[in-house]
Amino acid sequence: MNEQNGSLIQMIGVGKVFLTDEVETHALADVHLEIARGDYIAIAGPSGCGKSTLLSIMGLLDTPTSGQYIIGDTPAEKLSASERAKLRNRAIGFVFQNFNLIGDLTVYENVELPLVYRDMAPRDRRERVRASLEKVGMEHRSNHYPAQLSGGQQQRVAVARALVGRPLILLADEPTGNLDSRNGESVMVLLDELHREGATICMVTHDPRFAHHAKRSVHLFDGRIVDESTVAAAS
Amino acid sequence: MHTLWHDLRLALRGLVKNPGFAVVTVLTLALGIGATTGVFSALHAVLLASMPYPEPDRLVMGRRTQDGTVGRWVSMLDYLDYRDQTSSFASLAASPGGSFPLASTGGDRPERVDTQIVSFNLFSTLGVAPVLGRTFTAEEGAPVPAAAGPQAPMALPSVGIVSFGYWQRRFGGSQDALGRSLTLMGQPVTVVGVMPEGFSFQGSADVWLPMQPDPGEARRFHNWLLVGRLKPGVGLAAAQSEIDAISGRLATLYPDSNKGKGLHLDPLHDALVENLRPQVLLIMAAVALMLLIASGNVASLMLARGVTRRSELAMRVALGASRARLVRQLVTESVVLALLGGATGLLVAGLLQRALPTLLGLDALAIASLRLDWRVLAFAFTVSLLTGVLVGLVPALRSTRISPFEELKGGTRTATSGSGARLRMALVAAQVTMSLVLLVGSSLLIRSFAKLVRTDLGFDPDNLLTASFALPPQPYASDAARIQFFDEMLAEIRALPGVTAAGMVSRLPILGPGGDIYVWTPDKPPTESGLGQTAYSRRVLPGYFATMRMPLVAGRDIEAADRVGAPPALVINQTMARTFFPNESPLGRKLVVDMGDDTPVTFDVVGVVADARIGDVASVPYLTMYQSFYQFPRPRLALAIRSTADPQGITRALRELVWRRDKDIPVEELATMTGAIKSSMLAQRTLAGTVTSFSLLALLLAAVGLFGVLAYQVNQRQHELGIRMALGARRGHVLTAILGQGLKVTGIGLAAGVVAGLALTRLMEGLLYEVAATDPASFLVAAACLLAVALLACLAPALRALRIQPMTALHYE
Repeated sequence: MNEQNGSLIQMIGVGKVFLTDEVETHALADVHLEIARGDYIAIAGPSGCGKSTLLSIMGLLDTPTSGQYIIGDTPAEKLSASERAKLRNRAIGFVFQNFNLIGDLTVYENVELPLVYRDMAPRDRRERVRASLEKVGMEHRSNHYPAQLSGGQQQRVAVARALVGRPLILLADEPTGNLDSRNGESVMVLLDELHREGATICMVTHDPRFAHHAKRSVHLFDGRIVDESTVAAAS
Repeated sequence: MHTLWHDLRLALRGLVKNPGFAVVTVLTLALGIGATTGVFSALHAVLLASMPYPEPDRLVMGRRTQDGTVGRWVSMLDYLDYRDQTSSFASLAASPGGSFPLASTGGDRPERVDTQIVSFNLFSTLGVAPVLGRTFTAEEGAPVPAAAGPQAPMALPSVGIVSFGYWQRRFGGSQDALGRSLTLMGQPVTVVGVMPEGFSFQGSADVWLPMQPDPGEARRFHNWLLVGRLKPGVGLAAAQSEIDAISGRLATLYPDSNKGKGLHLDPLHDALVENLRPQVLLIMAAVALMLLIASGNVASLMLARGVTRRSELAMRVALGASRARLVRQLVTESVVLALLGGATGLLVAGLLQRALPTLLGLDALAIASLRLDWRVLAFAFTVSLLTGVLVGLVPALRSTRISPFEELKGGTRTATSGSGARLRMALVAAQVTMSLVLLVGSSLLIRSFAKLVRTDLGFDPDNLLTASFALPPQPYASDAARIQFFDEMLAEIRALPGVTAAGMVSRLPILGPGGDIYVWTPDKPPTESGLGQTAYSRRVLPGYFATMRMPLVAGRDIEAADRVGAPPALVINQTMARTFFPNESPLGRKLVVDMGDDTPVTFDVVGVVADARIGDVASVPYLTMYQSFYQFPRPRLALAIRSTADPQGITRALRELVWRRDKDIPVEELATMTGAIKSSMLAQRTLAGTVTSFSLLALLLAAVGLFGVLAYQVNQRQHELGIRMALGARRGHVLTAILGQGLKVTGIGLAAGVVAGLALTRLMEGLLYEVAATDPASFLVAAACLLAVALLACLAPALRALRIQPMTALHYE
C-alpha cells in the first residue's frame, strides 16, 4: 500500500453528525489528523468527546459525514461495504476495552478469525496464529475458552487477534479500561513492545497514566482536536 | 393456595405488560390445542363414545365367515336359522348394505324414493322407537314365497315406515301421514310409522319396508348384514360359542352351501368404525404433531423471554426467592398462557367439529354432528394444562439456573450464544423432524390420491351421463314388455341431438358395485369343498361397450340376436378369461352360471372385453361377465349416455320421451360419471386434504419457529457479529453464518425426520394406493419443500444481520 505524503492515515476536515429523532449531534467537527507509519498516538479527552467515533471512522467501522479520510493511499469514501471489510481485515487491528472475544470460540479460533475472513489456507493460518499467541505469551492457553481466562489474559488474546493479520495500524479503544492496574500496566507494556518492534498504534484513553505511553497525544473536546503534543519520553 | 393466587396475579400482570408475546403465544397454542380438541371429539365419537342407541354394549354385528375368513354378508335363510335357534340374543335383525331406488307415483309426477328392506325387528333390536305410529310386526315380516323367478318385478310388502325427512317432504310433517298410502312401483304401501330425525342405519333411506323372506331362496346367496342385541348378562364369547354350534349344525344339514361357513360376531360399534379407525387415528396423529410443533415454538419463546428476564429473576433470588418458587411462578405463567390458548382454541375446535362429520363420513355411525360436551372440554382442559407444563418447565428450570451476583453485576466480557441457544436450536430441529414426518405423510397420501385419479378405469368417464330405471310390475309383468320398453327408449335416446352413444347395463361401474354370483366351467362344478369362483354379473343391451368405450379384445359384442331361444351368450373380461382359460382362447368355450334359478345356466363365451374397475376406483379388476338383457330381462337397467350437450337439456328430452311412454316412471336429474367417481374417492380426498392442511399448518409453525429462533439469535449475536465485522467479515461471511446456522439445524431435523418417517409411514400402508410407504419421491418432495421453506425462514434474519452496524453492535458511543 502506498502512502501519500508519508502518512499512513490522513483525516482532512473530518466531521460526523448523528441524527436522532431529528436532533443533530455533532460527534466530530473539522478533525485534521495524520498518523505516520511507526507512530504511537494516544487520543485523549473526556467521556463523550468523540474519541471512539474518531476511532471507529479510522477503523472503517463508520463513515464521516464530511471531510476526507484516506488510509494508505485509498480514500475511504470511495469504498463499497465489501471493500471496506476487506481493507479493515488487512489494514486494521482492533483492541477493544471489553476485549470482544467470541465466547463460543477457543483462544486459537478467536485469533485465527481475521485470517479465516482473509481466506488464508489453514496451514498458513496455523503458523501465524501460533506466532501471534507466542508474542503475547498466551500460546499455552490456545485451547481454552475466553471464559476460562482472566481479564488481562483475555486482553492479551485480543491483542494477539489484532496482530495476527499484520495490520498497518493497531487501534486500541481504552485497552485497559476493564482491567485492574497490574493487568492494565502489563497490557501497556505489551503495546510498548509492539511499538518498539515497529507497530503503528493509535490508542484511545482517558487515563493520563496510560496516555503517556504514546509518543503523540491528541486531545479532543466536543468533537474537535483542541491540543496535540509530543511526549518527551515513553515509560 | 395463597402463593398460587399470587403467582396467578403475577402471571396475568406479566401477560398484560407483554401483549405481543401473550397474543402470539395464545394464538399459537390455540391453533394446536383447538385442532387437537376438534379431532379428539371425532376420535371420541368414532372410537370411544357409545352409539346413540340404548345399551349399545349389547349390540353386535354378525358377518359371514368362509373357512375362517371374515366376509360381510349372510344369506337370508342362514339368518332365519340363526334368529330362530339362538338363545343368546334378545333379538337378531337383518339389514341390507344400502338402499335402492323405487318409483313413487300418485303425486304430481313420479319421484325416486330410496328404499331399504329390513327385518321387521331391526328398529326394536337397535332400540329406536318411531316418533309417530309403530314399527313392523312379526306378521308383516312373515315369509312370503316369491311369485315368480328372478326376472319378475318385485312384489312389495303392503306397509312401510318413512324417514323423518320424507315425512316432512311428502306429508308436510302431518300427523295424518299414518295410514296414508304411497304408490311404490305401482303397488300400494301404507305408512305405519315415522322414524326420528337423523335416524339411519347402513345408508340413508326414505322408506323402510319389512323383509318378507322367500323360503325358496337359495342359501348360497349372501346379501344381509346381521345386527343383534344380546340378552342381558350374555357375553360376546358365549354368544359366539352358541352361534358356532348353530353354524356347525347348518353345515351338516346343508353341506353344499354351508360347509366351512360360519358367523363372526363383533361389537357393533367396533365393526362400524373399523374402516374409519385408521383415518381418524392418522388425523389425530397429525394434529398431535402439530400441537407439539406449536408447543416447540412457545417453549422457544419462553426460553428467549427467560434470557431477557434474568436480571429480574436474579433480583428475586437476591430478595430471598428459592429456585423452586421461581420455577413454580414461571410454570404458572406458561399454564395460564396455555389455558388461554385452550379457551381460544375451542373456536378452532368448533369449526373443525362442523366440518369433520361430513369429511369423515360419520353419518355411518349415526353421528350427524359433534358437540363440545364435558368430555371434550375436559380433554381441552387437560391438554392445555399439560401443554402449559410442557412448554414452561424446561425454560423455567433453565431461566432460574442463574448466578445472581454475576447477573446483578451486569454484562459479560465475551459474546456467546450459550446453551439456551442450543436448546432452542434443538427444539427447532425437533420441529423440523415432526414437520417432515407430517409432510411425508401428506405427500404419500397426495401421491396415492393422484395415482387413484389417474387410474385407468377401463372405460372413459368423460361426458358420460347416467340414470337408472326400475319398471313397476304393471304393465311390465312380461319379459317382452320390459324388452320393448328399454329397447325403444334406448333407440329414441340414441337419436337425441347431442347424444353420440347410449347403452344400458344392469349396474354401472362405480355407481353399482356388487352383484357377484357363482360361475364355473362344465368340467369343474362346485364341490363340497366350496361353492367355487364368483364373478360380477351384468346384463347389457347391445352397444353398451361402445358407449363406455370399453374395447372388445376378442370375439363379438352382445347382439340383438342373443335372445331367448338362442344359446345364452356371455362376454367376459380379460381377468375372467385368464382365470378360467389361461393360455387359451375362451371364445366358444362354455361357462356355467348360477343365475339364482333352480338350474344353473350354461353360456357360450362369445367375446372378451377389456378389464374395467367395477366396484370402486381403488379395487383391482375383478372377474366380470356380461349377459344379454334380451335373455335375462329383469326390471332394472341403468343408462349411460355419451354426450357433450348440456346435461339439463338431455334430462328434459329424456323425461319427455320416457313420460310419453309411461308417466309413472321417475326420471331424476342425470348424474355425471365423473361426479360419481369423485364421490367414490371422497374418503381418500378427504384424508389427503385434511392431513395436508394440518401438515401445511405444521410447516408454517415450524417455519415461524425457525424464523423466530434465528431472528432472536441474530438479535443476541449482534455483538458477536459486530466483532466479526470489525475483524473483516464481509456480507457473504455474515449471510453464510446465519443461513448456515439455520440450514444446519434444518439438516439435522431433516435427517432425523427421514429416519422417523421411514419408521412411522409404514403404519399408513393400508391407506395408500399403489404407493409404497417408503416411496423415495414422497420423501424427496417433502424434504425439498421443507428445505425451501426453511431457507425462506432463514433469509429474513440473515438479511437483518447484514444491516447490523458494527459500531452500534460494539456499543460505541
